Amino acid sequence: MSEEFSLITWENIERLLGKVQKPGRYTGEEYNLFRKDWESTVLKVALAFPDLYEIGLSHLGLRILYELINQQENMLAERVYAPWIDFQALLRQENYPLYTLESKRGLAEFDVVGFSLQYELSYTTVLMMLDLGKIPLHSRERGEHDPLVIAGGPCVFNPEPLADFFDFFLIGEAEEVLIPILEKIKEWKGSGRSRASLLLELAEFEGVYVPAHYEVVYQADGRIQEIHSTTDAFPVRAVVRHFEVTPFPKQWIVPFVEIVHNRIVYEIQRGCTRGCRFCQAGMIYRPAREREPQRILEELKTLTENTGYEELSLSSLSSADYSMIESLLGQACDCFTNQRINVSLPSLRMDAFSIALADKFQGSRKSSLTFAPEAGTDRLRRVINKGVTETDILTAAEAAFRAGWQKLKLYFMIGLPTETEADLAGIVQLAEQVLKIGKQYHPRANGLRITVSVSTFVPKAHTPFQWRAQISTEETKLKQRFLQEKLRGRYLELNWHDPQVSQLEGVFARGDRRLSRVIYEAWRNGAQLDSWGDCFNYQRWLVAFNNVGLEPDFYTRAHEKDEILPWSHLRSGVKAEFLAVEDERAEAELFTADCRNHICTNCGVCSELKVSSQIVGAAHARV
Amino acid sequence: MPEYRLHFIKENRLRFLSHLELARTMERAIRRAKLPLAYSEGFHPHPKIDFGPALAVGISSEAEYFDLHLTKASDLEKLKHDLNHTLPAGLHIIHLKEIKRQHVKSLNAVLNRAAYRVSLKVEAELVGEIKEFFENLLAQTEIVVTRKVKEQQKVVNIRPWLHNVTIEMSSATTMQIELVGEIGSGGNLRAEEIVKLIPFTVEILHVVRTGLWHEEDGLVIKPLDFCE
Repeated sequence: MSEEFSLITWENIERLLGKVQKPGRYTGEEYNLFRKDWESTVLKVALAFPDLYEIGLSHLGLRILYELINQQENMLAERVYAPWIDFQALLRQENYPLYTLESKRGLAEFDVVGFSLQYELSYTTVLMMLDLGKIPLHSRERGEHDPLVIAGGPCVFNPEPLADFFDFFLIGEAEEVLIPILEKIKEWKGSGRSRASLLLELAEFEGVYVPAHYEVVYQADGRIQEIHSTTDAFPVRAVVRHFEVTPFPKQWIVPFVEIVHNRIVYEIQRGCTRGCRFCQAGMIYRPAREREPQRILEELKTLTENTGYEELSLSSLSSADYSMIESLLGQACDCFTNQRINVSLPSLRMDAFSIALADKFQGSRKSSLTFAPEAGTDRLRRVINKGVTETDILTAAEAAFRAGWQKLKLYFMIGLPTETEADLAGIVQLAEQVLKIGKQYHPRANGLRITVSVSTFVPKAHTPFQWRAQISTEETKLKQRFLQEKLRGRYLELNWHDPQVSQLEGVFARGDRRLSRVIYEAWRNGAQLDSWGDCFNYQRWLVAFNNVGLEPDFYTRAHEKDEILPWSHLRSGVKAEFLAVEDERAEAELFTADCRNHICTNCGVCSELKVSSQIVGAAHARV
Repeated sequence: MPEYRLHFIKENRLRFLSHLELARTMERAIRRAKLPLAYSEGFHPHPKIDFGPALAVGISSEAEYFDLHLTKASDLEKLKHDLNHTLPAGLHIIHLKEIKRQHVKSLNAVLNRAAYRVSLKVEAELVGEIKEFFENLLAQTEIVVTRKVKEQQKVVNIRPWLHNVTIEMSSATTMQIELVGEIGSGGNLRAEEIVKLIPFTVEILHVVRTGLWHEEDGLVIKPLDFCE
């Protein structure tokens, strides 16, 4: 395959790197990477992240898969990230393919190219990378010898907008199924069997979804009439059933360039069952599974020794919920603080317990604390099942100010279901009340700062709010203006999201496969790296929608409960009836408790997927 | 607290590290080697590692230096061995000494000379003209270039900073140019800037910093000579 383009060598690349920003993104050679022999290894996998190196290497999921695959005999995994515009231009000019950092080979030389899809606006970047990697973009154009192009990550819980481009998606958690899938591909390689027959065999694996095996029939109004499976298979999410023994990376890559999360990120647990009704992660990673604290500490010891890192984070969707968090954090601090390694918890709840934890690890370095009230009033927080009251928020803020923090960040959403002007005013009032408390504790402090970050609610597939409408760009602007006018003052800072970006996120989050053409058109018109403000161009997208004859508003509208949704044939394990009941309970402002403490909420995951929650300190569980 | 001055090389792919990236990489290698690194006092303690003059991204070096404070004395050979074991390929300690003298000035304060070797690919018939160009260049009293300083274009005369140029041919079309000049508080010689003045099409193959030292009234003192 390599005859079609110039053979790439380090000398070739070297000549180009002197001409680009941050060449360290493209050199590879980082400490702790895997070097496996290309010629003697049978199955070669390129792990691709459709964003810049700094973002891609910060992502934990690909680090896990990188080590998992490289631990296998006869398999290798190498990494590739999206090059910035300057380097893309040089590669095109020299006719070099996009290459992996380890062996500097073009993407087309791999058997499998696997993308991690974390964000809807990275889809055009996927096309850019395939194109630059000299791989045909559409799965139907790929021949027997082209790589299998696959994807995983939260976006593939509704991968329909990308249906034309991928050979298959792996829905759910990869650790337990990926190696058997790759074994199957390895066995197929050189067997003489067709690509189509391989895909039929792969479709039987848990989590595998081959979009070409399905036909979607639309009604005249654009809604789906029927999703027809040509194989009778209906994919179910893959899940890790033995989280306690699932390997975690030991050979953590240390980059040279500054990346977004430049630290050891240890996943102490997976899944969050608090049941926030807007939250996709809270639905698709169920149930809650914790790792043993002894194992965590031992592995962290090895990781800190192998990397020399000065910071580690005890990461998860809601780390304060880890049943033995207090003792784990205490032991981690005892073990690492005297080695000048900072320990941090990324996700805090709004309660005194969390502030006490934060005080433990931030010690004298009190930078800032982030809270996520999500909505401005108790009423709306009941609607979204946030389970936090104004009293909780103010108490937590007071505890934080008393402990010495001066900078608080508050995260909110606008456009949540049932939102009224009172809820927006509630955001302003809450921020002002928090500020007032801050002033009591830090009367003369110039460092006092309340940052209010407001994002626009985007309904996501497989959540209780999957049928709800997303507010229009016009409505978003009006609501943002309301906050911009009311939230003013020396110590207050307001951030908001680009309404057009949120709209497109919403379109692709709930889009159907007709959108593949829109993504292709937009890419052909120059769209790529859309998550970067200097690259994003809304006009290009509108032209693409127009050329294909689709409307963004069609996708952000409210959906009927009996409507066939683009992802109706994909099972996350959480039952659609549960989601519908939760949506009704939202309307009635009813609280649904966390099942972590043994009150089953009947979401269906444990029985559907034959998995159970694993809580290490069940005996000490706090309610 | 024992203090050491280390001489290291930076080569191959690691020449693309910026000064800050290099500092981080060195610090992490020191931590991996479990050397008893000393830290500054205060709210934000930082490791006491002080590098010499920054090297531009893309340039290799045979002569980079840093000072390292430890809390416990270490055998020099062991220190070198341990650190080389944890450094990524492309960075390598070649020599080190304990700083025994009192009040040794920092590398940045004392180093005022640098030498570079630039490898150029040139057309064989232009060799004579390029040599002539450099002879003329050294005969001038002013070499004016524009530099970007804090987002503004600034005109500077770099002639006083360029002390010497020697040219050798390593093949019919490969020219090795040795440049020596002023760096630090008294000047700021940039090798690539000089080479780009050549009025012909040439390709820069490689730039290496070959030396850093202190020079005063004709007396040369190398960085490690300050230690004792």
